[in-house]
Amino acid sequence: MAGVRLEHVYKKYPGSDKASVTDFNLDIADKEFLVLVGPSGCGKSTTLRMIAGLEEISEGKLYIGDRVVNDVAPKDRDIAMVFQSYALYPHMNVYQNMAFGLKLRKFRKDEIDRRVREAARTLEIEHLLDRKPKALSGGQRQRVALGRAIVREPQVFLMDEPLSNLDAKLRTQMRANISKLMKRLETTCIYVTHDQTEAMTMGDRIVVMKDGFIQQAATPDELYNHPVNLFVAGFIGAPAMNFITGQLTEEGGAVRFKATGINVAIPAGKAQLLRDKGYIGREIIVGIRPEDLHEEPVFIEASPNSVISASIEVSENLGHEMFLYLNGLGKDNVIARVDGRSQLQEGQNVKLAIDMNKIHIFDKDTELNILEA
Amino acid sequence: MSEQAENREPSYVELEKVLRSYLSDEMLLIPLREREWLILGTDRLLAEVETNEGDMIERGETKEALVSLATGLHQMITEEWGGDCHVAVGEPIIPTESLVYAVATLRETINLGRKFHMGMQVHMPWLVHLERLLSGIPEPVRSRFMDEMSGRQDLFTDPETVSTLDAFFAMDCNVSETAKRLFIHRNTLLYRLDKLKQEAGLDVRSFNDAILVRLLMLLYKVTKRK
Repeated sequence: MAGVRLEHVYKKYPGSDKASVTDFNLDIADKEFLVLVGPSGCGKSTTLRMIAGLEEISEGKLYIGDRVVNDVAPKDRDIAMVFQSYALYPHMNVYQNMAFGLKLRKFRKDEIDRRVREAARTLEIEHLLDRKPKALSGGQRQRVALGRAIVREPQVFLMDEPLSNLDAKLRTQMRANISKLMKRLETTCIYVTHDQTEAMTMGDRIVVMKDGFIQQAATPDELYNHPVNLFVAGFIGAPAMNFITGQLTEEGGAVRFKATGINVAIPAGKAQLLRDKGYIGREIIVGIRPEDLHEEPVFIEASPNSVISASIEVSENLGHEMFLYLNGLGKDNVIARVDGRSQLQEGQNVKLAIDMNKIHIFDKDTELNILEA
Repeated sequence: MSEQAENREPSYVELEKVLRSYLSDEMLLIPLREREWLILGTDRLLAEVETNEGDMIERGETKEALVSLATGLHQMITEEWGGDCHVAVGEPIIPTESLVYAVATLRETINLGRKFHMGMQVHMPWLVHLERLLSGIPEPVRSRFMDEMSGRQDLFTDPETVSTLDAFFAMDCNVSETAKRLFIHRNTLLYRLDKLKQEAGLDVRSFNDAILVRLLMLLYKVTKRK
């Protein structure tokens, strides 16, 4: 087993004036499950492919364990990859699919058999060993692809969107299976996805990327509650965080945030920080998670300085919770996540209280989280 | 098959050994050019793709079996060999009758695939008809079409727009399916499509405009990536 370290890694393609990955620095601990997440074209797959050796590193150093592997051929890096396509070898049965890599590496027959059967047991596909890929469902194929990687007993697993070809139900199930499996195998895993739910539920740590740069590397909890900038705040969480642009003013010793339909007091601790950093009188962006807008009377009564009114444009009742798309707050729709038993309806005016202790405040120009900087 | 690694070139013997393990001993590996090989496999492989040994493969299923063999081959090379390559696969032939034509078609398919579909590494001749047609159009005619059709060619440099449109066309212009595939809300997709309509004057939800945008995207890749 081994950790992975990337030191000032860059990827530049010939003929392109912009780097696809810029100054990537990261230390991935042994046995850690690290998720690289970001929108299409952010450089996450390129980073993974550099670790795999499928892309050359333009600049910087890559370590697997204590060894610099920049110039080590992919097959000698002791890694195993699982890709989005999870293409199986169609003319071989499941056993042969899983055994192929070991056979190629000239493992002894009994050792191959031991590893294949053990992996099959772990993945609960023992009964499928004689089947051809064509006779397998999507989820079963995905498990075989995982099995092919597991039998290698590598130092590091690399997975590039391995679940994106599965339907939503199967994806949720496989998500849990992979997490459990990686915990059991106690092997370092680097997992690429553009799905923030996958990232949040699977990763010990998540690296959010944009335009080839690391935006933030942190635990799921840290990312959700302490995003360093507007991008991370908007990317992590579904529905996404609401952003409202407005102005900070000081009235009678209290700092207030004012925007269309909003005039609320900023809690003392946050207010002092904003004063100290010279934000009074300036335009800022306030970020509010949908669940931090409350319609419960008790909360509204207890928070007289953060009550707002809005009209419900659309309501989506999912049973256990309800999403309200609100008009009249700032420039865009604001989404509130409330109890599914609320009797709120479209077209109705609603009174809500913002949990001001949980708001995020961003600099309008730098887009950095002022409270976290 | 064409290998694209920058420094390494596998030896014939090594490659042949791996391919024999993967396909069967009844295969022929013919080096064509530097980093370019022709692999001739027996048609029994197609039957082996079937679930049961005795099953006969229907004519309509041949392409499907060929695609899975080619995708598997690419995966094997990437996973086990540790290199990146492009693979094109052709329909069964009688080598003594049409080998030269088959090689030319496969080479052309890889070239078209690399030119028009950068992220893809497995290419099928029956999926690049439009690309072949566009590739044959003289440069001035292409440029004129591009100039006339879109004053905002920079739209196609925006990765988000390109990936959105790629997914939209791959899902046969179905808004709900595209949104699902891109993991975005339907309204977000509609917003992106409306933005494109405003900026380029082309509404991809209309059949005629969709054709034009599809052609523009393909041509843009050729004209701008020189």
